[in-house]
Amino acid sequence: MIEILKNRQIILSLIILGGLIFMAVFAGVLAPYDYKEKDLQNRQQPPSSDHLFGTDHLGRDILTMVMYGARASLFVGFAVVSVSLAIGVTLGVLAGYYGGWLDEIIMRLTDSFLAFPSMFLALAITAFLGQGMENMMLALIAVEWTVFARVARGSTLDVKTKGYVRASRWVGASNSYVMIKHVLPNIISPVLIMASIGIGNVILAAAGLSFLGFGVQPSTPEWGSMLNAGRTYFSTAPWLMFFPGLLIMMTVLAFNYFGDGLRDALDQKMKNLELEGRF
Amino acid sequence: MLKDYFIRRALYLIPVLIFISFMSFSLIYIAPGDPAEIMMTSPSGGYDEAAVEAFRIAHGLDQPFYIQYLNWFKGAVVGNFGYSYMSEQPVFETVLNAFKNTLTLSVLALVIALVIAIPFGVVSALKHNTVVDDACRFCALFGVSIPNFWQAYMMIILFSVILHWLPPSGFGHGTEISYMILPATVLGTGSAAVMMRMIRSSMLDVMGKEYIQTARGKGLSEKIVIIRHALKNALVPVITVIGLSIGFLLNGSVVVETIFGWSGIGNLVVDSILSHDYMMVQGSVLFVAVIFLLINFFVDLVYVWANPEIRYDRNS
Amino acid sequence: MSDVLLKVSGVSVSIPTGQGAVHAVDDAAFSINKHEVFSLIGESGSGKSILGQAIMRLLPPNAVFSGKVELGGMEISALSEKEMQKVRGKTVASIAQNPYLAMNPGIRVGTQIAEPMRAHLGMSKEEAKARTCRALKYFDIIPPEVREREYPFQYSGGMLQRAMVAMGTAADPELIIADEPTKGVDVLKKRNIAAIFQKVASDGCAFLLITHDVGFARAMSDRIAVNYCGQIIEIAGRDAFFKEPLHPYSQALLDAVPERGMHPIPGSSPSMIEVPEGCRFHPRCPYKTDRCLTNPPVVKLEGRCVRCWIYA
Repeated sequence: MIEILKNRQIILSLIILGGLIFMAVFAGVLAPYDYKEKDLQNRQQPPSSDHLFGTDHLGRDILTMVMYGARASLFVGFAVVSVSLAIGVTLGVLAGYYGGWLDEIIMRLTDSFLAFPSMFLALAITAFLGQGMENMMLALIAVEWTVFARVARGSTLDVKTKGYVRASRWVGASNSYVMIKHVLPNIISPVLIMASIGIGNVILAAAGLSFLGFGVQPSTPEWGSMLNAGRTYFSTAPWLMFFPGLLIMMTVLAFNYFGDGLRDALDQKMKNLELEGRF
Repeated sequence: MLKDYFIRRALYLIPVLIFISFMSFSLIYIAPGDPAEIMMTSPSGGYDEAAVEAFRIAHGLDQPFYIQYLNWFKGAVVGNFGYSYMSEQPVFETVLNAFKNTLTLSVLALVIALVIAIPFGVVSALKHNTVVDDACRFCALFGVSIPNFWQAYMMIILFSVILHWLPPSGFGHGTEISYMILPATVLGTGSAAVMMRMIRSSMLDVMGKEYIQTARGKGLSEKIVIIRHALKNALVPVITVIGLSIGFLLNGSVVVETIFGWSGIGNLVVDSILSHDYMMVQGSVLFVAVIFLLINFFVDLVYVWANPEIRYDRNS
Repeated sequence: MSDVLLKVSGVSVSIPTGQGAVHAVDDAAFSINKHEVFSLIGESGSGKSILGQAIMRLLPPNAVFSGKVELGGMEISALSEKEMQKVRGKTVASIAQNPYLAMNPGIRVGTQIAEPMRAHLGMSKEEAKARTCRALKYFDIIPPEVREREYPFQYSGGMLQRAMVAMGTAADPELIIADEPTKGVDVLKKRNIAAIFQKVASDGCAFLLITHDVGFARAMSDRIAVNYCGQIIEIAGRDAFFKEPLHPYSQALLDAVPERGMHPIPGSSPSMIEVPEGCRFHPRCPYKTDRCLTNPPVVKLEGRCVRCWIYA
C-alpha cells in the first residue's frame, strides 16, 4: 500500500479526483449562483468576471451547473460500477471456481452480452425501458458487469491452480472458505484497476446517452445533458459545450490515469492481462 | 487441424446467437406501453380501437410471446427482420443499407487509427521510459478519455466554423470524402489510442526477446532488425485489437453519425428510438450484434492463422 | 604476421541499476589465436556473458564500457555502429544458449540462416537459398529444401540447435562466441553440441566458449580462462590448467566438480555491486593474508598468468 502512494501518477490522479469529489459534495457552498436561477436578461453571455464560464440559453451560470453536474456524473459512475462489480465478481468467481456446466452457462451469458456493442445495448435498453436516469443506470449495469465477470473468472482460474489453494482443499477447507480466503484477495488488484477504468468509461457513456437525450433529463444539471442543451447554439455560444465537455474529459482522464497507475504499481504481470474497458 | 478449431469455434457461436436473438426480441416486451397503441395514437392524443387492432394483426402482435418469437426467429435466420412500424419498409434492407454507410466511415476511421497508432506505438516502445514515451502514453490516455460528442463539436467549430475547410455535417451521397473526414477522425481517435497502447506493449515485449539480440548479432542494421524481426511479430497481437476496435467504432457511430447527419446504423437506431419504431430498433441491434460477433470470430481465426506457433499449439 | 585473432585489453563494463552499479567486467585482458578454442569458465552471474556482449558491442544501452577490443588487427571497440554492423555476423558471430528463444518464431528458419549471407556476402536471394540448403545439409538437417521453408517451432530441439550453429557460421566468421551452449542440456545433447562445435572448429573457426561447465570446457578447449566476480583470475593452457590450477579459486572450482568429489567452495559468491576490497576471492580463500586486502597483481608465468599474491 505504501509503495502505491509513492507513485506520482497515482498521487496526481488522486488529487484531481479528490478535488472533483469535493466540488460535487460542496457544490451548494462553492457554487457562485443557484443552478435553478434563470436570468433571462443575461442569456448566452460569454465568460466574464461575473460568470467565469458564461451563461446558458436560460441565463443560468455555467460554472454553477458544471459544479452541480459533477454530482450526477460521479454518482452514476460509482453506483453503476459498484453494482456491476458485485454482480460480475460473484458470477465470475463462481464460474471460475466451480467450472463445468455452471462456467459454461455463465460464460455463454457473458459472451452474449458482450456480443452487443455496448452503446447499442445501452441505447436499446434505455429506449425500451424509457428515458431517465434510473433506466440509464440499469442499461449501463447490463453492459458493465461482463467486464468484472471476465476478469474475476480469469483471476480465479489462475489462483485455483496455485499449490497453496490445492493444498488447502486437500486438508479439507470448505469451498466458501477457499473462495473468501484465497481467491478474493488475489482478484482484488485486477478488479480495482478495472473498477477505476470502469468508472471513467461509465461516466463517458452516461454523458453520451444524456447527450443523445436518453439519460438524465435537462432539468437536472448533468454534463451530458448540458452538452445536449448547448448543441443548438454551438456556433454562436461554444462555451455552452466547451466547459461541461472539458469537465467530462478531465474526470474520465483522471480515472483512467489512476487505473493506469494502479496497474503499473500493483503488479508487473498484470500488464499482460487484457484490461480494456467495455466502451 | 485449423479446420477442427474453426468448427469448434463456430459451434460456440450457436448458443450465443440464439441468446442474443432472444435478448433483442424481448426488448420490446420490457417496454412500457403497447407499441400498437403508441404507433396508432394520433398527434392529438386519441386513437382508433379498430386501427390499433389492425396494426396488431398486421405485425403479429396478437399472438402469444413464444409464437411471435419463433416466427420472428424463423424470419431472422433468412434475413427477414419484419417491417418497419413507420415506413412499412423491410427492416433488413434498411438496416443493411445503413450499415454499408457505417462500414464506409468505419473503414476510413480504422485506417486513420492505424496510421496514427503504429508509428506512435512503435516510437513509444523504442523510446521506452523517456519523455517521448511518457508523452505518447499520456496522449493515448487522453484519446480514450475525450468524449467523442464533445470532440466532434470542437472539431466542427475549428474546421468548419472558423477555418471553413470542411462541411460541418451532411452525408454527401455517402461518397464525398470531404464529408467523411471529420466524422472518421472523431471515430478513429479512440481506436487509435487503444491500438497505440497495445502496439507499444507488444513492441516492448518483442524488443526484449532474445531473437532481437540474435538478429543484431548477425550484423543487421537496427532498421532491419526493427522492421523485419520486431514489427512483424509485434503486429500479430494487434489483429485482435482490430476486433476490439470494431466495437469501438460501432459504439462511436451512434453519437458521431447523429451529430454529423451521416445515414448510418447509429443514426438509424437513434432515429428509430425517437420515433418508437421498435421493429427497426430490434432489427438494427440484432444486426449489429451478429456482425460484431462474426467479425470477432474471423479476427480470431486470422490471429490463429497469422501466428504459426499458436496454430501449432492448438493443433496438438 | 601474428596469429592473434582477438585481443581484449583493459576491458571494464559496469551496468547501473536501482541498487547501484553492477561491475560485471573488470579489467579483462586476454587474446585468442586463430583457429583456437578458448573457454571462459566461471559461476553463473560472474559477468562472463557480459564480456561476450561487450566484444560483440551488444551491451544494454545503459552499460558503461571502457577498454580496447581488437579483432584481426582492427580496433572494433572504436568503430562506429554502422561499421560494427559489417563485423557482426561476418568476422565474429555469436551463438546463443537457447535456440527456442534465439530464433525468431515468425520467420522461416532458412530465411534466418540466409540473412548474414545476404547482409555480408552480397548474395542474391537464390544464391543465399542454395547456400543455406548446403549449410542445412552439412549440419544434418534434411531434407534441406523442405526444412529451409519451415518455422522454428516445427524443428526438434537438437535440430534447432544445429540450425542456430548454421546461422552463426553462415557468413564464414573467423570467431564464434558461444554463450553457455550447454546450460540446461542433458549429457547426450551435450555430446551432440560438442560434436557440432568440433566440426566447425576443425574447419578453422576460432571459438570463445563462455560456460560454467568445466567438463565441457575441458573437452573442447585449447586454453582456459577462469572468471570470478567480474575478473579473469587465471589463464592457462588446458592441460596445464587441469594438471595444476594455480589460483585458489581455480583449485576450489575443480574440486567442486563431481569427478573430484564435489567439494563445495566455502562461503558464497559476493554481490557484483559491492565487491570485496583487494582480491575479490579473499573472503573465501583458505590462503588469505593481509596483503590480499590490496589488489593482487597479474603474475605471468610460462605460458599462463594468474591474478594472485601467492605467485607474486
